[in-house]
Amino acid sequence: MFFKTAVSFSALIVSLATVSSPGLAADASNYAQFTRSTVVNYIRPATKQLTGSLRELEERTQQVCITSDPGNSAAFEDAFSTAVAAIAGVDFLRFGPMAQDNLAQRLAFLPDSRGVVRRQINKIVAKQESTVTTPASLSAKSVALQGLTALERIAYASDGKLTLGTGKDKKFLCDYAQSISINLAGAGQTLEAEWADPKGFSKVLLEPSEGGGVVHTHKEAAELVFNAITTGLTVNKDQYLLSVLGKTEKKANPKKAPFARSGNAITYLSASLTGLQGAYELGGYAQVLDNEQSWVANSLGFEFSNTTRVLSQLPKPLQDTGKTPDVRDKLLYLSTVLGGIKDVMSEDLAGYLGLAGGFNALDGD
Amino acid sequence: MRWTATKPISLSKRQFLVGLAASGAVLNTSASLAFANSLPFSEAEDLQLFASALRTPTGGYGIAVFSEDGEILYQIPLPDRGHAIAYDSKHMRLLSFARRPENFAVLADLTGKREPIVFTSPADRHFYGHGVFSKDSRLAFAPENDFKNARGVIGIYDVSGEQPVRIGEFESYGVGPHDLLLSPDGSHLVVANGGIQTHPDNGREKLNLASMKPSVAFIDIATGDLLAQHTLEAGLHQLSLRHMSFDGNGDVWVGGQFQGPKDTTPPLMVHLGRDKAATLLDMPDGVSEGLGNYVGSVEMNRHGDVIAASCPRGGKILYWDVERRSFIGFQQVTDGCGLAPLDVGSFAISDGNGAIRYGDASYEVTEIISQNAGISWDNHLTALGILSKT
Repeated sequence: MFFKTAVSFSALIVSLATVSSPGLAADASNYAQFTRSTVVNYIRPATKQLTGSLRELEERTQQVCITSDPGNSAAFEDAFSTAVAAIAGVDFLRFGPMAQDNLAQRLAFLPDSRGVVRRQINKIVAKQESTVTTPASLSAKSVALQGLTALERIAYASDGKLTLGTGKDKKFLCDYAQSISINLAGAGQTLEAEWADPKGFSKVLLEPSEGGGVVHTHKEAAELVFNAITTGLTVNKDQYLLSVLGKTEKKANPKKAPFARSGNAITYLSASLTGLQGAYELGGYAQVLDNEQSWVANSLGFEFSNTTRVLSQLPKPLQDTGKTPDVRDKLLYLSTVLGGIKDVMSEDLAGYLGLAGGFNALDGD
Repeated sequence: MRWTATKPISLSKRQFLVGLAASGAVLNTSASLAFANSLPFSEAEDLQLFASALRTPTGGYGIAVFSEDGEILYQIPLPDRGHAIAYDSKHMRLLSFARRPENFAVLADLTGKREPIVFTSPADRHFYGHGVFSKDSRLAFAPENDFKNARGVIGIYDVSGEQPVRIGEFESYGVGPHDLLLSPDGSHLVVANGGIQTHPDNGREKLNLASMKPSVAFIDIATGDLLAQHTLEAGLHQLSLRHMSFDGNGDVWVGGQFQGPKDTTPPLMVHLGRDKAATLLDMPDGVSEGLGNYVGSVEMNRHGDVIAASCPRGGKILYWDVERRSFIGFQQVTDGCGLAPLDVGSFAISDGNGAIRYGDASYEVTEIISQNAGISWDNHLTALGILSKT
């Protein structure tokens, strides 16, 4: 016979998505609270931090372009690393304000496994295109030319050395870099303001209505936020870690990690995972679990701490060390742990909370 | 065969044009997403392009063309949720049909020579989200629901003039026709009759799950005559046959959606041909149990030797070897559904979280190319190839 009996958790999640079950740990007030907690306790502080870091980067970019002495260079590198971490903390929040006017990609063009930033900047630099040398004209260019990923490309050499403020193209590249940094600071400010505005997208999430836009209920709002966290975990694993590891040891390519060129690959990954953990914990999802379900919170806490421990052990910069057996083993382990975290969140935790995932999964045809 | 000439109805046109204007105003703020009524061919140079329906970050709906780099190059709104897109390579036109129970379709000219045109099915019909152009691009065929009589039809539209004109219909030889294929030589249509009866008065409610009888019908495109029809054994009458692809041999691979008990896992994939009976394809233990009994899309690679099937409810993309008809493996893709051939051996995959990936049957992991914030790609992807305006 063709039929097999199966009681899979994913099937349970699908059924939970379509019916209201009295056995769920969460109800409508919990859903509303998850969203509010995430917005108030994670998103707004993270966007505020982003704005501060990008303003600092704008200033440091200007300084290193005036005088590229060791002090200004070190200050730029510090500011750049801080900005990388700050962007990693919000990059996974790919909804609402981050979706307006391509804000996410204007902050950082990620993922970029096809090397779009490299290709477009090579053309721009070869032609010394003046359209990238003022903030206004740059903002009309491709988003791949605008973000922190573009700034990294023109500020650092392939060996990781900071070159901004030096060399034969100094004037052109500094004008371009300052335009990027000014626009980045503006983008950060926009993001912070959008999230801070009680009548902005926060209202869409916190006061959903049937006639509303992308979400209509507190449950849908909670799902939007929650799914952004699980998607962020997937992107970190599938895109950033596995593309570094490659299909085989020979095909390992540590340079494919975000911000590897500037030596900030581990900074980005660590900050992204810290952000994802923060959004999960500050959202308060685990607080409504009962005793039998609390293993989820324990498991996630343990596995997130494992990621922190492994990342702290990785020697920097990753683009130099990523192919060594020891680092490769640690990255493989990290990938496994991330996969486990993602599965527990998207299957077990989501199942307990009745949170459904998937535009296509829920209402396909 | 019944022929019913009707005029196109412009019920949604005003609303649609308002949406177009609003979309242009919003998207013009970004160069890479700039809405114009034509594809920016200079930015698309030497790049493979794909089309898909989508949900926008604000909850609206549209269709978009994006490059192999994942960059959206063209986007227009839809009056409501779309589904699949047919492509006319001769005139570079997209044709998007509403999914059930809606009745609008949008014809969009990528060259910008004409504004997008919205038209509807007759009042007593609705679309199912799929359709194809004829080989000469003069006609378009779309599965429709004759809901008063609970039967499927294939609406025939003349799309060669200023306005699409419905010039007739064929029987689909079943209920709930869904995906539609045009044979490579253009001589016949293949329609997957999902078997599920619905009525617009009941929304998307399924009205005949106990008695449904899915089938795949081969129909002569010139006469509407039934050339061949395949059904499943009685025990599988609730396996709704929905999405299909030809393989390199001209056979058809069908993905099903099981409407029976959730704790059973029947085969979801079927192989058949015009003169080949339906063969159910097994999957390894441990795979079929996690698919939610749902295949969302089926596609072959450019070589025609690998078939991919997406299972968004199980978060998996499955692969089959065509010659052996054997299961190759799967990849995890949360909410992944849209599939299109990318190159000889791999596929483009879209998902509900805005990501575009590349998947190769020989590797267990997909590569994320882009993740557009706030966007949900809808069920299907259409490969347009590399376009040039000249």
